[in-house]
Amino acid sequence: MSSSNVTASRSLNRARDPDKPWRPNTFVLGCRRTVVEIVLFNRDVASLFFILLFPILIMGLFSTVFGDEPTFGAEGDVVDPITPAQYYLPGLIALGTILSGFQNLSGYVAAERYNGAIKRLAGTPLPPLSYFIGKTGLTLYLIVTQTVLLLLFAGFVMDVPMPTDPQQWFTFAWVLLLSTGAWSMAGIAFACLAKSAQSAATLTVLPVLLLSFTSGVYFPFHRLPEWLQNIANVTPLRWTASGMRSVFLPEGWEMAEPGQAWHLGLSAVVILLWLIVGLVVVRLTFKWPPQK
Amino acid sequence: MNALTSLSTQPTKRVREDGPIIGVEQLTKSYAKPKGGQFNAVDNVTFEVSAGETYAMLGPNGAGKSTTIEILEGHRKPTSGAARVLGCRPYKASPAFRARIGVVLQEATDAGELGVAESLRNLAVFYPNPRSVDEVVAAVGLEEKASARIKALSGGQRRRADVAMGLIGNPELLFLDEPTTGFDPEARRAFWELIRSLGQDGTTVVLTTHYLDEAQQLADRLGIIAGGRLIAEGTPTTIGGPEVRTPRVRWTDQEGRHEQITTEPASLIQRISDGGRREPELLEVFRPSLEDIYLQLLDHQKSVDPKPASEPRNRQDLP
Ligand SMILES: Nc1ncnc2c1ncn2[C@@H]1O[C@H](COP(=O)(O)OP(=O)(O)O)[C@@H](O)[C@H]1O
Ligand SMILES: [Mg+2]
Repeated sequence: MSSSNVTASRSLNRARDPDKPWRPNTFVLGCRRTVVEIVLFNRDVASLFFILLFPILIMGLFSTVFGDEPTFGAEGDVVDPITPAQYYLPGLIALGTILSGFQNLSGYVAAERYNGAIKRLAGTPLPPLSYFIGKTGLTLYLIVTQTVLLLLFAGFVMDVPMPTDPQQWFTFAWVLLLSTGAWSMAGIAFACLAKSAQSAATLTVLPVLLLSFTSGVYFPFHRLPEWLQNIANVTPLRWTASGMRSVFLPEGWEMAEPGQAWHLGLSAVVILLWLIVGLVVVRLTFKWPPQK
Repeated sequence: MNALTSLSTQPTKRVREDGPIIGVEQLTKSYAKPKGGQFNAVDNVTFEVSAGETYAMLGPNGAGKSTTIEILEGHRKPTSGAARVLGCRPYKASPAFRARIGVVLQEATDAGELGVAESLRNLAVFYPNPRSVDEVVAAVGLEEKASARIKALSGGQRRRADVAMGLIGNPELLFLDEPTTGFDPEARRAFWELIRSLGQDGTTVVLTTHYLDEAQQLADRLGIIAGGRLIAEGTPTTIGGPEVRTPRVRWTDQEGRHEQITTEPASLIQRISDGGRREPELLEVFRPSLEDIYLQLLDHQKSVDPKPASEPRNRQDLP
């Protein structure tokens, strides 16, 4: 090791403008954090498998149970029936936003609050915003990989027809990103309120389980009793699922929705509201350095 | 740290800043008691550390060492009093401040899935002038474990990795909270060498320890903390004042064992030996070791203040 090189480069670094205080580059460090987060996540094989492949697993399972014939029709047979795989695709994409956004983040952030990781980072020049950029990057990586895998599986293995209208893909993109964002905020807020890493890990399973049943992921939404629909109407997953149905179900299926329409505007409003509330809660509860 | 290599020296010794690099004044940190009420984990502590100095905080478990050092690192907010570090108030200080300090926390179990060198590389990019990863890995003697996952390290090796993470940013001020917990004796000696070499480079070091030999070996100055209070301060050879260091003479005669504290041991011996004509049995002359002094100071503290972590002192002044 040539220590003379080390010292030479160091003195060069020291010779920067003394009047300008040094500042870290928040965005560049955020990107570095993203890489670290992804590398770390990929080492956790169990989580990787669960988060990325769970929707595919469910789709495969349902197709085995219900067959791959077009047997799923809308109420009153207004349109041609579709295959179970096509029917479940939008709900499973919606489920992915809660898995990648909420379940994954709440578990990791809670662990990092209690194992000293955040405290260690807070003792370095890393800006807290870079930490969040890293988490955002990881979440984007997860949701995009998960959704692409599911779409490939649906398209090539299950022969689900894909939308051809760019307008529909645009709807797909904003519903996906907005929902993942909202769930990420909810996940971090949840992690900040949890009293221990273990309780966070246990409790996050609840909303994932409950909401997937009340949001039309596994059963048609309009079959739920009205009081349950009313509760589900204030949760974001219900609106993510209906937004995704508007993209992947054939024309005419909106007749099976409450009010016989997709209500995309309402989707945007409810999900955005969750995003904003989540952001406020995170802002109020996330402590950098961790409070003692 | 079997094959310890000292870190390469700076091109020039670090410019010594005028005055103290750390100034702590009447610092108090209160926590809520579980059964209600408050107690002071750090109680009205005042001290200074000058640039280039190695300062040790010595004290039993629960004395308030971690609370104090974490206030200086900016991890905790003082309840009252002032702490100034490198000219800044450390709590929520800027990244430029954090770039100048290195922090080794008392305990951390994070980064288990990362490799040793890998986690150092990840941290190095946060700093404007980081040390080289290889150099730091070598300095803590983890060359053979450089690519091992941190979770696969032994307790002492994991602790050395923590020390390496504190050094990677090339700090001018290094905080170490009980750095040698779990080290074997050899690693501890190598660690002392490393801290000395940092001190020679002009790095200011603040460390906490409950090992007396560590404080004695490393500290230019040390403060003894008990019950949240700074009960004594000085160099390892002067702390506690001259009285507690007064020589003691012990001997045995027909009446039994004697011990006498005296500033003139030679003349005492002359008397008891009848001018050198009689050899007193089991004669010894000694000065109290740092350990004797430390225990003496803690005893004294307990006798004047039986409930160390006290209610805020100004309580009784309130109506
Ligand atoms: N976050 C906290 N909340 C309540 N009490 C605390 C907290 N941190 C430390 N204490 C208490 O303050 C005292 C000093 O703790 P600490 O500074 O960790 O001691 P040391 O590091 O000297 O062993 C202890 O009695 C400890 O229980
Ligand atoms: Mg401690």
